[in-house]
Amino acid sequence: MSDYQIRIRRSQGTRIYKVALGERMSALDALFRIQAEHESALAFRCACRVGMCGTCAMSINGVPRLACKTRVSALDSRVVAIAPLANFPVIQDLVVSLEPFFEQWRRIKPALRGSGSDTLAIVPPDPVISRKRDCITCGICYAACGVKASHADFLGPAAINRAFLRIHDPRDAAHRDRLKILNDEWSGVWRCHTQFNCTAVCPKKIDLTETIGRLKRTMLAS
Amino acid sequence: MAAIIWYLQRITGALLVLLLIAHFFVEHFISENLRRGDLTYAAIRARITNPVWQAIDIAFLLIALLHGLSGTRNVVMDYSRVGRRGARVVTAVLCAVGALWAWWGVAAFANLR
Amino acid sequence: MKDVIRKYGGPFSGMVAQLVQRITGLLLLVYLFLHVRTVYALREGPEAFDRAVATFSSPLFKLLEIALLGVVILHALNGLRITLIDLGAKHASQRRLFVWSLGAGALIFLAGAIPLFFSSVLRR
Repeated sequence: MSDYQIRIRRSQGTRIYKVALGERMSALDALFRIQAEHESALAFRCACRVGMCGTCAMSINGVPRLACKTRVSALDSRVVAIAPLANFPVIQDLVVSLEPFFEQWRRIKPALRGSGSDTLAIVPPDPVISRKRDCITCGICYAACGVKASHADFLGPAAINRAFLRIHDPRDAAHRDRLKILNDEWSGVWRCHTQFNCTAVCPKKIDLTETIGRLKRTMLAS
Repeated sequence: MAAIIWYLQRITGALLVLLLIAHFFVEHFISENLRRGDLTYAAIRARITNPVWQAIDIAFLLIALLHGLSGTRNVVMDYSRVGRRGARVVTAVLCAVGALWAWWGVAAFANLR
Repeated sequence: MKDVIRKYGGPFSGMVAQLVQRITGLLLLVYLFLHVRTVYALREGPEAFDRAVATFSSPLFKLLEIALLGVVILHALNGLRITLIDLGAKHASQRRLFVWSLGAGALIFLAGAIPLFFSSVLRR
């Protein structure tokens, strides 16, 4: 057990809590400890606690991560700064509204739009494309994106990644609609400046910049 | 359209690297004197009154302006709140600046005494 | 401070690279303006040329020249790196490319800056 100083940016300002944490404890464990020992009104979200649902996404020492997957001892510091996810409106303490994320998500028509004929066909797995399916819509890429920070209209890596999956699905028929949205100069793929922030922080290790790069090359060719 | 601008930025960038290296060597070494700092007016004038070099230099300037002002446009669009309509104004302004700048550069070669 | 370095040097290093690219780009535009202005002024004849050379031989300008070399190298190499990525270079090499370009850039910079420095600034 070691003593940690957890600085949380709450709605009423930054509050500092001292807790003793074990070597294998995560930031989420720390939050539960703080809630139990110091501040029962501390607001934060979580669900699965094992890195599958994406609910506990928050900024830890300046980088957006999943709290349940972030071992405090791996942060190399006894002072841990926790803040709500960037680029999202804060509801209370560490709870943010994911509405902006899903607004962009809906714009690319995330559902499969079949052409009616072959919707039940089984598509052979493609190793490259399969890796892009792991998105848990946690919003971490959205929070890390430097373009998002200055340009609220950008679709964002997750939405573009999902659009990519749909475009490359032979059962889908809405390619043209999606490509048109992606081609938009203001909010489409061209706003991505290959910062790689999204790829670096994605908890599912999806190479989002690569997805966007592929789309850029596809759209250039056509 | 956005795709073309994006593509051109990369192409002009690569061209500029080559042109810059060539320009650097031509200006500093391929003249009467090899030592840096001993460039004479006569040597420079001899080169830039040659229409071939003039064409190369003007092309260099135009490519540099395209790359630089296109990049500037990106910066403005990213960090300001111009919106779609404002962006058209920004583009128009940058095109005007580019045209003036290019004209200025070309004029430098005209009427050399 | 360590947190800042860790944040912007680690996962966000690409964003720093983009910022550097933009700043160097704008600086180079300023340089281009001054350069065209100087060449334009040379129309006036040899006297104008001599005046310009006198100004540009001062130690301050020589140091600025060396700085210019650095700015050009930064912008060019980073730009080439971005172009390679856009053409489809493997992303695993992205960070490595950045480090390599920094290394190559430093070498080229020294190759240019040291002769410049010794031949000009120390001549006085």
